[in-house]
Amino acid sequence: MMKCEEFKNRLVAPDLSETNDGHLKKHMENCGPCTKLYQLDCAMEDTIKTGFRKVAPPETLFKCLETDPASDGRQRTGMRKMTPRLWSRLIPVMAAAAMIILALHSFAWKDTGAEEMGMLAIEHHMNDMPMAFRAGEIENVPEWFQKNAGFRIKIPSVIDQDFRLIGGRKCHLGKKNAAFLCYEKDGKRFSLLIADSKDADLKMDQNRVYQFTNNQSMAKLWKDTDLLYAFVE
Amino acid sequence: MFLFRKDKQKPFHERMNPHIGFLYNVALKYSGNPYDAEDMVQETLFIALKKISQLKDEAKIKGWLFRILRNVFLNEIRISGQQRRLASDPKDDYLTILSEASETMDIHELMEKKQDHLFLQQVLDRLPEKYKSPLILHFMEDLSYKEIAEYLDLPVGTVMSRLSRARTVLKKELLKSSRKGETIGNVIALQDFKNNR
Repeated sequence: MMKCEEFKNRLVAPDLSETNDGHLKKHMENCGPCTKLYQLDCAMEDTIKTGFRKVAPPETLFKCLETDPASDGRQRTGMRKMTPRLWSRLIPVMAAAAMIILALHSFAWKDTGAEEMGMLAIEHHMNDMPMAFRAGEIENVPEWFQKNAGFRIKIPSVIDQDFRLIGGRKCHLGKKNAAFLCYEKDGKRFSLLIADSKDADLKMDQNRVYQFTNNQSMAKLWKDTDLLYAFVE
Repeated sequence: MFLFRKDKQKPFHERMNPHIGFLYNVALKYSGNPYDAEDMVQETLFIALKKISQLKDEAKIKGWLFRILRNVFLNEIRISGQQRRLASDPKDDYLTILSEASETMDIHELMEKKQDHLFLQQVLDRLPEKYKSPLILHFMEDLSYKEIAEYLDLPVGTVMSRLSRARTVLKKELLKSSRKGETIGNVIALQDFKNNR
């Protein structure tokens, strides 16, 4: 006859095979407390099963598959690198055309997109360029950018007390200015690029965070009232 | 247009369509929010599109897609540095809590009480991927140990022990929350940037 201790161990054993289950049931016929344990364990098991119940996927996934997952993904997320094979053949031609257009018309920030902003943020993050100011050299960072970049920045709440400012500088997005700040936290370097959303023509929802990955770095972009942020870690 | 490949009979979208639900639900459990889940599925489909010629056996397409999705997830973990570890073997803890709960709790009341699924997701989010994947495949897809082992390219014994440990963690946390009567219903549906970093 199985003892209660053995019952408990078998209850949490990796394999509840039929034989094991049979032994458990036999023990439960004569043991009320263990029956309660078993019922409780089953209730937890059922709760887990319910929690893993499937949900219907969004229609957008089917639609993008039927049409063009690559372009749809780009439109929705704004930054996933999804370039189908046929498009890749057109890219050199399109790139050349874009270069000519850019040469003829010096581009404005309005012409750039989330990808460009993400790319720029990552580039600045990767390249160890000199800072215009170092931490402690200026008293008010937003005011410094107001004076030097022409717009007032607001440090987002994501930069909490644990982040240590290393320095900052003005940089350019097209013809417009943007603010670049460099932070350190737990020995890692983080970069924050801030631009005035009025200068940009990005269709970004207020409550969404967009991701852009390049060279194993990831930029997270989001919009908060009049400012656009790109955060690289 | 590009969805048709010369070397296969069916167009790409027709081959992927039956698995969208599976991929989305796995991604949802991995990421914990619908937006990231959608992104992950799209990335998976894109990689699948690029590598579809590498799929030799059409019968194994589901497992093949799962492995791509899992790699997408692992890559995101790697980039964001969200590595998780299981603190200790939960078996002993669970038995203690189970014994205590069986003395104080009314089973029928407990079974009638609906557990907050968001809480389950929160516990799941805290698990390392190596425990999360077998759980998803077992509870959501009802796959056998052998099938899970094939999907994850692991020995069956490893799958069994990981699954056992993971389900014990889940049960323990659920039981703890039931005893406290706590429900966590305020999980942010939208991606909260700060919490997801």
